[in-house]
Amino acid sequence: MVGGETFTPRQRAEIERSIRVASELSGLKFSVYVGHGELQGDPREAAARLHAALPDPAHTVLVLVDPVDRVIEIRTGVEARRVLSDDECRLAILTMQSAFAVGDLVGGLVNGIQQLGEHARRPRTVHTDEV
Amino acid sequence: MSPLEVIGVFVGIPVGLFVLIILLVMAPDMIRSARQPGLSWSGDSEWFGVRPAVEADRAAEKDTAAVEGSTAESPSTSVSAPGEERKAVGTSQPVEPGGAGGRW
Repeated sequence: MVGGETFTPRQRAEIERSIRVASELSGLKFSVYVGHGELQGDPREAAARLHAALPDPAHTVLVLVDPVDRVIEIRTGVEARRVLSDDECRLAILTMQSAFAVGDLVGGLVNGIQQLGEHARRPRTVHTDEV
Repeated sequence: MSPLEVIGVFVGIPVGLFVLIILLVMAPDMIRSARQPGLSWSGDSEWFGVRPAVEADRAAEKDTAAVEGSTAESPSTSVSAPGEERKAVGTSQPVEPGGAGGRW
């Protein structure tokens, strides 16, 4: 990893792909922030502030990762919370924690986002959903 | 063959090969540990997917600066137009606390 260059293009593509798949599965919007600047102070408050600044917070799931302080925060909007409970968020955090602990930042993000998308998967409705 | 040559051939070469194999085996682990997050994080902060209006504006500025003389392109599907986002932020609904947090 070059100084200043956080992810390689391939890693970026992997993360973007996992976000796209999770969004398609769940119908929710996903936002992922990886960095140190925005999470100073109370991470929960920082996550709430950033989440409120997103275009559609009600339907958005925000994943914040601070690799310096080793903090993960997941924030769900009002509508997103209906299909993605706090316990499911905790499970995704466990997945990410185990990958991050061995230094796999991208793998942890990809797996965690996929897990969030799968947990929030919309149930198929007979006769209304297209086959 | 002098004693020095004998030592070089029968000791030097095997020891050299031994060290080379050890280095080749350990190299991936050494590289991985050097990239462990929290220890050597020197990169810039990055957003993926939907991002706040300010960040979207920054990204749009970057794009327009990169393409000199061209008009502003339509934003990608993951990010809506900056104007729209400002409007959405201004009228954002109150969000109840939801989610979880942790450390590693």
